[in-house]
Amino acid sequence: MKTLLKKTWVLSITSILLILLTPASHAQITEFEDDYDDYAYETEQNSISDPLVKYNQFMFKVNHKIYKHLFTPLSKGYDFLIPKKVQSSVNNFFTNVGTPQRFGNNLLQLKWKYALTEFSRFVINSTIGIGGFFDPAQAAFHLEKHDEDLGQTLGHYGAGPGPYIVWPIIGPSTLRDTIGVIGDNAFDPTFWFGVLDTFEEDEILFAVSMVERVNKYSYTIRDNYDRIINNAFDPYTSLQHAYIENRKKKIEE
Amino acid sequence: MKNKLLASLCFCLFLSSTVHAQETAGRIIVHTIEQSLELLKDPKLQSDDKLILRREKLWELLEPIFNFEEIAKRALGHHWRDCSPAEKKEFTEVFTNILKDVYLGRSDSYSGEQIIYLNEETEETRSKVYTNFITTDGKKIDIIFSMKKFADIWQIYDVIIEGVSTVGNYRTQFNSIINKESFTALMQQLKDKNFKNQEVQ
Repeated sequence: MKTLLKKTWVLSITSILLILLTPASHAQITEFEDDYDDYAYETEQNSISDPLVKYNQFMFKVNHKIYKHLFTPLSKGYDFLIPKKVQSSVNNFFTNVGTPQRFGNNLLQLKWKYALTEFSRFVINSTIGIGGFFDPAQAAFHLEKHDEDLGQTLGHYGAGPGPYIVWPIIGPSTLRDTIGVIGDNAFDPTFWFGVLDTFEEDEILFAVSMVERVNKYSYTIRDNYDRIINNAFDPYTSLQHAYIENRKKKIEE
Repeated sequence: MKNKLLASLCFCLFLSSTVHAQETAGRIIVHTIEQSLELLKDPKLQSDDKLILRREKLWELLEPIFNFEEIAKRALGHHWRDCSPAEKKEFTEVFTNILKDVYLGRSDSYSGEQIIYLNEETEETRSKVYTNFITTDGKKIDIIFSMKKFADIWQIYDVIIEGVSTVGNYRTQFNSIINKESFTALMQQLKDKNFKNQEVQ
């Protein structure tokens, strides 16, 4: 386990260096210079780098089958058992547990005010919000969550997305965001519970992470995924574009 | 008497013209959304057999605030220039129907979602209207309406949902299909989709 961790870190640090040395493929644009005037001259190659396209397309199809035939039926069963209001509470709980990641990345981006907001949210929601199942910080104190992850932090400091990668089950990502996810594990309490063998029973940890995944899929991912895919003429391209643009927006925020 | 009538008529005309001139991009969006939500909440239009009527009425409200020719042009990108006038016309018609079905299809399942106007940024003939869409379970979705003044009327040429441009998303797909296959193949796919949509209705 230790050697694996060590290897992962060496790999991520090397990749971080590599990616930081690669300039961002898109320059900062002002509000009105979006693509209004230049769309007509855009070449067929958009700015998304996809050297693994053959593998990615294959994995996209595999994931689609897994989503359709395994995750969607599972999450429909979950919807039947667990009302959306409860799903929202479960979502709040895991969002609260994920505070260290957002707090840390806000700090890394020198967003002091947002980091403080994240800290306050954690204190309020863990106490008044009964262990994070409710979000009084937002409802009563109007403290908005500031979603940040390491992929966004790298983007904030000018790292481009790098090649597009479709991971099994997880789905769309890029080299930058993959490194981000690996690094973010350092902020994830459940990851450390696993590494440090805090829990005697691995099954508990597995069950907790399954609940998190199924809830997330039912509560947020399924509808978004279906909406994109059902309206698409070229689903692979549509999902890729949506992923890249959505990440761009999150980095700019 | 006649003069009075004329004066009040002039006054009315003046009033309406100033109101029209003050109609900002944001106000058009807010006004249209308010009217649309009223329609969707109308108890007389709730039953399943009223669904088609409700769609028609909603389309009467929505159609004028979109510029579908501009949307079609931007969705095709540089391929637009290679099209003949007849192809352009046909593509615009077919693509408008696709979008119509996407938007109206979403309205069928309306269950109390809200749209909140945040602010707008306007530069002469272009404007961005920032809004939040609040789902019934409290999720917040950022939606930006990109608008342009076409013959003195503000119309939408793109809707950006959570940073993803609708037109841009279609453009990457259409580009990919045209490059791999052809414009004719794309037209066929669009027509097939329209046909399927009509069958569902």
